[in-house]
Amino acid sequence: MRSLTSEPDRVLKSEQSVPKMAWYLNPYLHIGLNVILTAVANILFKAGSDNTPGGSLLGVSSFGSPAVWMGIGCMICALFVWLHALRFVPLIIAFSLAAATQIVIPLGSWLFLGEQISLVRWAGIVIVTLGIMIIARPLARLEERL
Amino acid sequence: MTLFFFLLLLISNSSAIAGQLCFKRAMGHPALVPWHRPAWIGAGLVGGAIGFFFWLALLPHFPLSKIFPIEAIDRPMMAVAASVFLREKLTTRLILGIGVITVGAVLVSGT
Repeated sequence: MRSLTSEPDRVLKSEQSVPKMAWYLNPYLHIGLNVILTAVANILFKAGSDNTPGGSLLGVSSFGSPAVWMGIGCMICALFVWLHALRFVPLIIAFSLAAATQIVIPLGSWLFLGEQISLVRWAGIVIVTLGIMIIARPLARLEERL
Repeated sequence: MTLFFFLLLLISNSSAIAGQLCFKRAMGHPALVPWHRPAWIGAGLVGGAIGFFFWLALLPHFPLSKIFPIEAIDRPMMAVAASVFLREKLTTRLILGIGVITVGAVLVSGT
């Protein structure tokens, strides 16, 4: 008797474990946001610390820069979107997709800080992109089916 | 790089990875008791902080272009840790992707 009543409950629970989410709650969007926020934070840290006098222990003098504080704000937001993504995505996949920071940070430094990208680094950027595509492709197909 | 500094790097990476495992533990399961999530998130932050301080201890001894490429071993390390401690599935495709990303990360950070 007990098994008869528990069966529908089990089905209902398994359906509930895959919730239909609004687009802005999509965990993969949050991994993307984490990558962008981390890159923006690092660029702000670099821009902020370049404009403050150096030589102090652990760059404490950089805390006077508004850009550094904006960077810290970005890192805190990055942590929250990362935690949201980890609710739904396995850590191996989330961590591997977050390797996109290896692409976004050099490109951001090139665009906004005027830093040069060597030929070897361009090759690295292309190879990281390839690796992320290898991992992301089956996920994209799964998303389409949903 | 001497064995001592390589060990420091391994400790730095392992702490950061342990921190990520704690984050996943916090978010991957329904909160059983009210303090479950904050406690694991706190443990994750502590792990990240320990990793960061070991990293800071290493930095003055090597140029960034030498130390950053070696730090890329955190990618395969994370894959092993997540499959051992969180029992996450490690497919051939994932192993291939992580291998390619690691090679790319070494090239991006080493130049």
